[in-house]
Amino acid sequence: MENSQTLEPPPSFFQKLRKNLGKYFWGYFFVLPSLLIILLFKLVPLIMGFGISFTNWSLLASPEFVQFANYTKLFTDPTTGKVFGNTFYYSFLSVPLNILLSLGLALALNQKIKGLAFFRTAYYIPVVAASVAVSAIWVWLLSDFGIFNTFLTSLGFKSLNLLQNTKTALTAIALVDVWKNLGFNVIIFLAALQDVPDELREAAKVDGANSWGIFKNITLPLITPAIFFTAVMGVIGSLQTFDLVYNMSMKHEGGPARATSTVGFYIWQNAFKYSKMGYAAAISFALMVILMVLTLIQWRMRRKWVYGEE
Amino acid sequence: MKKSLQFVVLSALIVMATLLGACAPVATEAPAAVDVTKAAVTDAAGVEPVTIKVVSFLTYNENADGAETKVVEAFQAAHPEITVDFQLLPYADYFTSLKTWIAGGTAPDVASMDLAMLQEMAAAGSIVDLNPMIEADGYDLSQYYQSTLDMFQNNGGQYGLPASYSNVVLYYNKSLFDAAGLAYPDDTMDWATFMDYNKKLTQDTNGDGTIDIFGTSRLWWPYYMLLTGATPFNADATQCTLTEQAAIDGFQAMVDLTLTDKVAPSANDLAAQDDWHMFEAGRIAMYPIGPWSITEFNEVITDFDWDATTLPIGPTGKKVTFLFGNAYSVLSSSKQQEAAFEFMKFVTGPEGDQIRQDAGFEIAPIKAVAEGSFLKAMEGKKPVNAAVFLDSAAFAESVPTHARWSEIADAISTQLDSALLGDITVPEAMQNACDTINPILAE
Repeated sequence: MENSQTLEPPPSFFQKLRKNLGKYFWGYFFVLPSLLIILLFKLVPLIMGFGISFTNWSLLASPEFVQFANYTKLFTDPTTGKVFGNTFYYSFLSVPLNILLSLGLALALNQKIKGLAFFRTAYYIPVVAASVAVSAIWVWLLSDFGIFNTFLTSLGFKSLNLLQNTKTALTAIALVDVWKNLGFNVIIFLAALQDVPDELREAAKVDGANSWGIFKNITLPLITPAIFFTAVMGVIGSLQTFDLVYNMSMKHEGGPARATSTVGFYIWQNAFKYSKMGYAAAISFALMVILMVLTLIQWRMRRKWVYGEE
Repeated sequence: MKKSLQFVVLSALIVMATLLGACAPVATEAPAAVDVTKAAVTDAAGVEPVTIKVVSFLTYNENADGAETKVVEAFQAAHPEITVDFQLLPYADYFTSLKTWIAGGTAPDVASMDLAMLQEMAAAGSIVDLNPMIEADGYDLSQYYQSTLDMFQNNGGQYGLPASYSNVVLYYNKSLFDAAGLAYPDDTMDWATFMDYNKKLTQDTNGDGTIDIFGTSRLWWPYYMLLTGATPFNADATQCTLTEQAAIDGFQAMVDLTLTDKVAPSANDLAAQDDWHMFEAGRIAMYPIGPWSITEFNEVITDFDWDATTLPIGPTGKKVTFLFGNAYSVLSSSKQQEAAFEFMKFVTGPEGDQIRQDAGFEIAPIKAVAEGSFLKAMEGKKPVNAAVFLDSAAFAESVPTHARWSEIADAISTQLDSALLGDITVPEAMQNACDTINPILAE
């Protein structure tokens, strides 16, 4: 080896790559599939979308550069305010409600009760059910011939047209969202609850704490990382909501009178119905910035209440 | 040893990535390997074999036999030198798919269009003006009903050739009229009589407080604009004109049907059962609908007798019905314009129309086919007064068009939703709609 040192040609590209990657080669190798998928299907479209947001691309005609016209339009378009308002309402209703209910359910399912496996599966089924099917069932349940209105009219009340009323339609869809996604958070909370050491609870009991005291001072603080996780994921997911709104509003129009149009729905409408790809991309980026800010705020605030974060 | 393995794995990955990149747009050369015998036949005739790609939604929803597939098969038999790669798609999401293909550079050569799609595509330059090809070919347009050709024009260009048209007539349930002791409606019925019949026919049969049988059902909202001669915008499409009295009168008549007089089902009633199935179930006495209902209603309705007349005269004395139509257009991106036009002539001409008409699909825009075959195909079927479809053509109007029509239409229908719920008045709704439409027109 020593003799050949002077004769060695300059290292090739692959040799350099191999040298630089060194002992981490297999690490990079195993993350490569995910990395490629993120690059191809997330990062590249993201950059393209950012470019499109400065054009008036209609899908049909070739795009022209329009500078910030799409972004200034965000502030003059009366519908934008409406759909962002709807979306925040949807999120601030469904996320806390989902966390409260799923935490309650997880606590109940963490007991030694009969049919535990059945209940745990039952609450998870709506999560994996197709949202089109879920929507169709709920539209039917809430219709005039559905079980709720049949019950109401049999008691002599007038039937409630939840999905056709501008004041109740969005709330109804948000509640279906809570029902559908409850099971996901239940699983997260169950896992967190099982990580709470029995010794701590037993020690507290010996010291005379009642069950509320144990929950408040031991269980709850120890599962705050799970609550933080579900809150962040919930806000991100609910602000992007599209499928339930598309499927549950009459004729997929986000109505009545835009009452159920969310940002995600309006992006879809602009992109594929109104052929305004540029404007749709601009709304997407506005939503992305809002999501980033909200997530950052949550991230900062976690130090105040999440266990183990200083 | 270990290092050479790393090298092999890495180079294999790079090769695969290169292949992946290469397979994107070039893969469409496959049709070169089509039918050898067909190629031999056409070579003998001295014609270059070509393949055209055609997409269509025609007859997909209405006709299980796939009449449009038979039209294409007939073309294929008559023109072996042109291979048609044909795709029949559902109407829902058809336009979204088409736009995506155009954007992705994989557009078909010929596509079916409805009125709104055609206007948007013509304005964007995605489909071609057929006039130069029509002139060069000496193709005779006088065989079509002129109104069906007019529908598919834009700035003097003929952007599509009509393949079918339809209008809306008024079906009535004879049993409900007999039970109410009313004379059957005819084409002299005015709005006052229509509303009087509606009130008499609307009933809560089981007394539970909800209406079981409705006098009529609401038509798609643009009808109520045509009904009073109103327009959504002025002639040069620069100003919204919905706040004018004619538009307010028309939409007030529509809102009154559901909100004030409660003779037509509301959005909530329709969520439980749509008007189409309500009529089939005997829950609507007078149902405005087009010829696409004929096949199903003849099969499904067995409990009562029904017939048809024209739509009533409107509240301001104007009689009008919708003129709907579907056309075929040639896409600007097509490199096979000649073969595409050959296809257009056949499928929108007498041969194609005849197959569709025999299958009972809407009405043929070719006069000879409609007059010769539509009524003949209707013999023994309901409505007995099938001539009403041809009679209605005399006062049929098409929905106003604009390159941004879907956006304008949503602005109006959103406000009408609120007016139908009683949240706002009709004049308020029209003011709000104009506030949204004027900026769209200005763009």
